[in-house]
Amino acid sequence: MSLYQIPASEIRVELGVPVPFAGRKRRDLLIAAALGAPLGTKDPVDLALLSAAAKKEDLRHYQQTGFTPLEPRLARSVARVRRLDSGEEALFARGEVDTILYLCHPDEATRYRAELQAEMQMTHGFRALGVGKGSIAPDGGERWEFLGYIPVRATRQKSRRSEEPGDFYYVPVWDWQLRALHWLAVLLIVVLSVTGLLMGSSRFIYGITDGYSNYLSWLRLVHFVAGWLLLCAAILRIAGLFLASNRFQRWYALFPVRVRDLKNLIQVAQNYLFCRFDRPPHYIGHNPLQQVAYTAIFAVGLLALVTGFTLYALYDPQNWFFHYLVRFDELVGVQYLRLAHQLIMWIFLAFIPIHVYLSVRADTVEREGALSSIVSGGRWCRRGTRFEDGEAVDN
Amino acid sequence: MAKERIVIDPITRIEGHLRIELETDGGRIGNAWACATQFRGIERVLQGRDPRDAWAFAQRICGVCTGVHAIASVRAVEDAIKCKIPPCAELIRSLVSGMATLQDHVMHFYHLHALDWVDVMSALKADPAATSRLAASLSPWPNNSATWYREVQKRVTDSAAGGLGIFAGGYWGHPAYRLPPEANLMALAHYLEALSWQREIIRLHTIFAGKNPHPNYLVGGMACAINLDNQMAINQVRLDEIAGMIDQARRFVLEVYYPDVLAIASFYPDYAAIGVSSPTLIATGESAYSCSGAPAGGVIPAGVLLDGNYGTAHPFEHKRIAEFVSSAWYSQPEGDRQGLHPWQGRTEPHYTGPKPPFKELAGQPKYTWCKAPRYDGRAVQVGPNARILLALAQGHAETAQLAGEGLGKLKAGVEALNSTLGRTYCRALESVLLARRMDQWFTQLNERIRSGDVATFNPELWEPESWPNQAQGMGFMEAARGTLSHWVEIDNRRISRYQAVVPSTWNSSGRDPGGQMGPFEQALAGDGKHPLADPKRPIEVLRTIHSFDPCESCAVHLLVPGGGGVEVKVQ
Amino acid sequence: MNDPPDGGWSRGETFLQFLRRRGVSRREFLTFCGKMAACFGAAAALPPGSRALAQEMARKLSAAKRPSVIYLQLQECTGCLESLLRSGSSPIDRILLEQISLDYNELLMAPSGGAAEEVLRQAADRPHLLLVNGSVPLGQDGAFCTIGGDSAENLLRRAARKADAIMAVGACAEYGCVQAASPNLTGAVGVADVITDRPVVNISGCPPIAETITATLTYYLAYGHTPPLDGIGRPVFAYGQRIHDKCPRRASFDAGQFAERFDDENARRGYCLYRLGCKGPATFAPCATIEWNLGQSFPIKAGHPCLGCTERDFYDRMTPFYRRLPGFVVPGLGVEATANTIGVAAVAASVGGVLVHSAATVIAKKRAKKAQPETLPLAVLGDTDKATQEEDQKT
Repeated sequence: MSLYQIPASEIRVELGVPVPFAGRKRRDLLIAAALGAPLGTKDPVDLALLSAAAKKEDLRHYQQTGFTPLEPRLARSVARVRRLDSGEEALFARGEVDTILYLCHPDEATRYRAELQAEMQMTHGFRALGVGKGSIAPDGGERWEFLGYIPVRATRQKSRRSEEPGDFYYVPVWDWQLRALHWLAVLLIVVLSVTGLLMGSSRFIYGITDGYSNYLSWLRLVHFVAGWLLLCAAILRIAGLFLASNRFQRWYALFPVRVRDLKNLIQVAQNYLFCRFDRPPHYIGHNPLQQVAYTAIFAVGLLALVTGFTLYALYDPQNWFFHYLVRFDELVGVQYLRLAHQLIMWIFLAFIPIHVYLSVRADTVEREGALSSIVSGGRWCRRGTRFEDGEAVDN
Repeated sequence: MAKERIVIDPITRIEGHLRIELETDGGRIGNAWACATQFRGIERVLQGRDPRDAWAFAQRICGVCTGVHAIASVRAVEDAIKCKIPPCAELIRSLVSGMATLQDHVMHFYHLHALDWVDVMSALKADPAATSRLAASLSPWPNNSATWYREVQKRVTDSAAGGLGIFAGGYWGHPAYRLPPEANLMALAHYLEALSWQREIIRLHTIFAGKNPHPNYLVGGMACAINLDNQMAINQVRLDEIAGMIDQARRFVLEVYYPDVLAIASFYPDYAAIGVSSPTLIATGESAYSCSGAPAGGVIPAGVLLDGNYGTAHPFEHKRIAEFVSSAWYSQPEGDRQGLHPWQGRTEPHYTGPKPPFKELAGQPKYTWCKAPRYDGRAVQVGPNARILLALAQGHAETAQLAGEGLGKLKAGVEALNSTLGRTYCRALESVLLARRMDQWFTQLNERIRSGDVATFNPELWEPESWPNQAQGMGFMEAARGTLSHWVEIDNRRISRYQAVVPSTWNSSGRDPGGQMGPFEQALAGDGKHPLADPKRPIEVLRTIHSFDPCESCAVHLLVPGGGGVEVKVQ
Repeated sequence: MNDPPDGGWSRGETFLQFLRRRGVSRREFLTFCGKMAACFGAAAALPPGSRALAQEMARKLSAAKRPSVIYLQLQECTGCLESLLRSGSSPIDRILLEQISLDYNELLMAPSGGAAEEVLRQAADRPHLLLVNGSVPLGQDGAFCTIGGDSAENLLRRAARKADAIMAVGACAEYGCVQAASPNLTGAVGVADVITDRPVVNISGCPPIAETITATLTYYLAYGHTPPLDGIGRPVFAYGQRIHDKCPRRASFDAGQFAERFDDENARRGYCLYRLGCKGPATFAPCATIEWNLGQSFPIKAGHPCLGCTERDFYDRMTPFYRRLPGFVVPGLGVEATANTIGVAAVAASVGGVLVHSAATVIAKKRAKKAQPETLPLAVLGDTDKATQEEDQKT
């Protein structure tokens, strides 16, 4: 039976500075509190006390000889402990401060001070764990002494998870081909945008060269070559959608496929829009919002290619292939295609800051490693996290 | 002889589509209806467009008087945004529109009008040597050898053997053809020569304005840059070419067109009293070759001749114009009897005529797409005869001298200029004057260039951001066919209202609510004396109608409601 | 050249041979000549008597080597026909007198009214070539353009019935041009929208260059078939390449030498007009090669940007004429925005959004830190969870 319905990893136990009484040392108080724990305990508070005490003294010198668990009526537990080297036995009681005080009957001043202090100090969810020590007289009688109390708090740990390297495991996600295509596309889109903008507003370089150069033809050449390369990249990527063995890169990773993913899509969106603050569902590949956004920008890229090549086709409309493209020109008019082509570039340029920002954010704030994954190809997964799009292999 | 209803549709050798319905009584025309049968609605298309683009739309009102609508449109916009254009641009525009008018007049006479006077089939019987002698007696034109006329004759004869083509179905042999075969052959030769001539001289448009038909204009000036030291600009080569074209144009007008008109007219003196039309005439004079806004000043100022009093020119006031739709297929909220100034026009096309195909339109109150503009309630003639009469009334010496000589040869008075023959003669007379003016304009342009002033465009008000939010302007132009004006209203840098008051609208209008006929109708049926010998071959009617040089695509236009678009209901 | 296909009248063939090949008997032909003789009436050049006249006609027509042409003018401005009159390569007088028999054309023909209609009826009943200027207004049962009391549509259908080939000359005949521009009050459409069962050659332009009209015609006369067409029915010999690809200012374009406004230094140096709104790069037309008016010049050469008049719906698609790209009217402001202003605004919005979002993230994190963590019960102090408590109370 566990008191906590949540994984142990999410429980965080904090121990305040022990407040010893009756001239005791903090160290003693801490050791006493630890010795009051039952043998083989799994309680996180006990474990925390034991771990803290173990740094002060070797607890292997003690042996628990008896333990009276906490009863609701008495509200205290008592452990009987024998010191191995001296054979001396003592009792250690733990419980609410007033219970322990009741047990120990200290003088009025101590009692008053202890109660008041415990009440005053215990803020932010901290509670005082009173500790008493009972020495056993040879006649078997017990003489109790109030040692002090230790502020204790157990909280559910949400925001601050462990960041230890050991808590993560590495999962390869993106093939090198995909990464290469991504960065190639980045390069090409930047080149295409810059050359496109310069072609549109010749004034910039015109001011420098005074027009005595062939710079516009160079711009156009670079633009066209980049356009062809982008087309190749798009074709490879599309082929990859159907040929790749990596399931995060296949066509069904383009959009949410399950109803649950659609719900998650909304949840992720709400998280981004600060409509809710819980932790969004985890995905190894792209989450549904990413899928939709990236597929949309992919489609926009295809549209840029189509409009671009449709305009390019004008130079040779009788060509066996361009012949089909020119139909688009006739359908909407070249001017509006130009307009569309230019607006699409601006969609890209507006997408880039958002994309970069969210990737960096995922890396730094959420520790999901999206940014580094497009460089290294893999990402770090936190142990114990359940992923929506894969078996949470915690190997 | 009983009254007879005659329909002539199509009237050919005009621009656009015109239908004439007549009632004849014993070889005389008793009643007439002029029906414009085409509507396009271009002014409505212009709403909401960039005013700088407007000329390209307005220009397509007509491809024969190509350019005049563009220039009127450009001037209206310049008037609205208060843009002054450089003197060189003004001169270039004058040269371009002057050449257009010359070409238009000559082509009208030879290719649209001449077959009414000239019997082509008779020409094939002519003696080329006699023709050569006749031609030499009339003018120093070098192309007058017997060999040349023989060649023309052979060419047309050979051609006729393989099909008559455009000459098929003509009224050849009609007794109304009075020219001797030799005169016919000379005119036929000039018909062909004029075809070659027109395509040569119109290259002036190509140099200054890119092409013809539909040359390019520009709000703020002209697009052609002048740079004597550059291949792509107007340089000395181009100027030389233009000088040659102006020379070529003037020679043809002086040595072929004008003598031909006088010669042919001398065979048809009775037509100086046939086709008398509305005695009220309007022209904006020479000022309309260089103005924006209301026509003002100039050697021959704008004016009106009222009720046959050809001696007194009254000032032209555009406020007195009102357009009626009582006989046209439009509706307006004010009702059909109300005439509206162009600025107030709120008119919608509303076809009430019979469903095509139909036999007759004349029986109905509405029978045309052409509105009826009136000046002070009077039907008005516009065109070359209005311009010449007005110049005479204002004592323009050059006009008076030339007209005096011409009228002396024809043994006719000034009032004869308002007749079928008068209108045709005035066109030729005006061409002579204009050909001389072309020389002057070109000299002025050369002087400007010599002085280093080569600006052809005023960039100050090019960007719409420099315009007022609301503006309105008007642009006048003396087109070949008469006084033309475009009216534009600009709201937030877009056209909110656009109108054109067009020469052929004045001339081919139908009846107004008072029952007063339009000028075409008056010319045919005004005095009940217009002859029509053979209703199947209505050559006399064609002579009179063609003497107006009708341009029906121009005539029909739609005034659009102001203030942003009342829906026009078209089922 | 190859044998002409069925329809055409090949060069060198007499009219009678041609009629025989088309299955017209001599008897029918003589009847026709009788009717035609009535038309010519008292033509002075021919001997009197209708029978003699008919024989004379038959003699002349059987030897005729010029194909019959009907040239309709529908809803239009006559500019296209004016353009034809300017032809230099095949001058109009040669065409009229030696190459074709222009049997019906309103601008040039001698007769009017009934006689003209009769000529049309006759010509339409025998094999002929049909050229059309002008659009067909379908609104109001065609009342927006009637000729001889009948609608343009009926006229066109009648004239097209026996036509060997149909050529739509000019933008109006192609698709309606200016009257078909928004809002197209008269319901104007092109020839190919009415005659849907046969190919229509579209000789584009507002107006087309004279030589493209005459060359299309003489091509047909020479080879017995229409020239090869592009995707929207335009002869490839004229509309196969853009003005831009043959423009004399192209070198300036490639060099980035642009006139920035009309009549500036660069305009006077003959630099490219692209920045002034030239539509040459979007326009398929032979302006730069054939040039206008006996090869004198063409708009771009003469300093005015191309309006794109050979492209479909150029009054809607190529406007505004003096801008490189169409603009957008910002609703309410009445200000025109270009694609670039919109794009820059989008990028600014995106960067702004990123900044706002990152600020919001920082704030949210701080808040989460400040917030009371969820305190958990402590077993060491005798807490039980609620469920257990309830169970306890029950027992």
